[in-house]
Amino acid sequence: MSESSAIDFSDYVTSRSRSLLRCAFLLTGSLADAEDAVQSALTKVYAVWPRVARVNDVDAYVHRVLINTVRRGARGRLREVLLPQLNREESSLQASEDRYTHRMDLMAALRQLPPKQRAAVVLRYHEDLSEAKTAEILGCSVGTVKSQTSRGLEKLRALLAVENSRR
Amino acid sequence: MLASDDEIRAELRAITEGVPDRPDLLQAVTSAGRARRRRRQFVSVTLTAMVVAGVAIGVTTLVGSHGSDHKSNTLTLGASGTLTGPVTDPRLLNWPARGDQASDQAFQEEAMRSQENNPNTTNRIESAPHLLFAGDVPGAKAAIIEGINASNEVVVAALATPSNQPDGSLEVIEARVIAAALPKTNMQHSVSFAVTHAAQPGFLLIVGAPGTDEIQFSVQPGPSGPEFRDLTVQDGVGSSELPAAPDFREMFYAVQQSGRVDDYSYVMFGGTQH
Repeated sequence: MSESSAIDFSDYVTSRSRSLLRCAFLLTGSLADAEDAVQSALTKVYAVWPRVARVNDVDAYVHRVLINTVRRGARGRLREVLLPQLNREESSLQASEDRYTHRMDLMAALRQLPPKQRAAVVLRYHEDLSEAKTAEILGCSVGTVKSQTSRGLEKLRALLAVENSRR
Repeated sequence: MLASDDEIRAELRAITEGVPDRPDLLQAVTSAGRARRRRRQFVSVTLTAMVVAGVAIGVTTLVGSHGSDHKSNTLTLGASGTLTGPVTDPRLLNWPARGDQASDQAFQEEAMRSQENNPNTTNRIESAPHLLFAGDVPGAKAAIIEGINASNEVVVAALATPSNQPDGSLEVIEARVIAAALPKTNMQHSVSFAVTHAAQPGFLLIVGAPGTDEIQFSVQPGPSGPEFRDLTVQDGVGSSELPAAPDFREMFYAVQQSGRVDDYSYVMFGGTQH
């Protein structure tokens, strides 16, 4: 790797690491898994960075690698351990219980979505990406993104309604 | 409750607001990237060498196989010959073995034998086995072993047998990949397993980092939201009996050390023991 591309890579990681960690956290449901996935994805990207740095949308490429890494990481996992690190300051045991419960429920519901629906919801609503960009990252059509997002939201709402009705 | 798209956006962002940055990420990535490149170069050179060496080894093997006994491929224990030797792989939890049978060699051997017979080969430990826990839990004897699988991933396996059964009947109740094949530097962890039965009590086992002095848990769905209760903790390990056919599905827990929350984690119930 040349010196100039190494510097570009450093700049990219420095500026985007937190955003990638947040996205990975929603995709994996665990801070430890999110860190592993981001590190693993960036290591793959690092190996081909001179080529990646020339593509139009580096972020889209990195997100694609990240999502594939998360998918592969989830295979063979019999039971996932979540680390719902909602907010280090806020997540003390004295935190607002309602808000805490609601977000826990949302994380748990998100985890129950099939991987592609979860990725579509996260990319559209957390990363705020367009349907076209989401389709590019997920390697599918815009129509599929629309249907996956719609079904994902529908299921999230249904799961949250069930949790609410239990209380 | 997620009435609008904006609300979904706001909630998802609120959830990730507390996700901390990892200052050492760049260094970890570049180090791993360089190591990966070196490995690829090594593999490339080695594969070339192996093609040349293959013919000679093939002949030697054919000759040598006559009259020799078949030797099964068993797992090599740690440097000290036990599962409690020093941990050399930086990805593994460098924790001492805990539990009242952590120094029982025969129990460890039975646990290893059972682990080697795990039919789920994907999550079978193939190298660097390391004992995290061996001992009694409510209604059962259990062991937790960490190691590396054939895909070079960190795996943690839980084995158990009812208290009144011999050690030889230990069986793998669950084995899961807990980390990608890359080093992790700044996370505190805990390891947790839950076993439930339809007709008899099961157990919950949480192994925290050394120094863990408090574990609080809340079952989900609870009767009125999260209600954290203390788990009895001994030497950083908490265990509890679970009722038969519990009406809760999962549990959040907080692992604390000197009043500081080290780890929030989550365990789903559903592991079964036959």
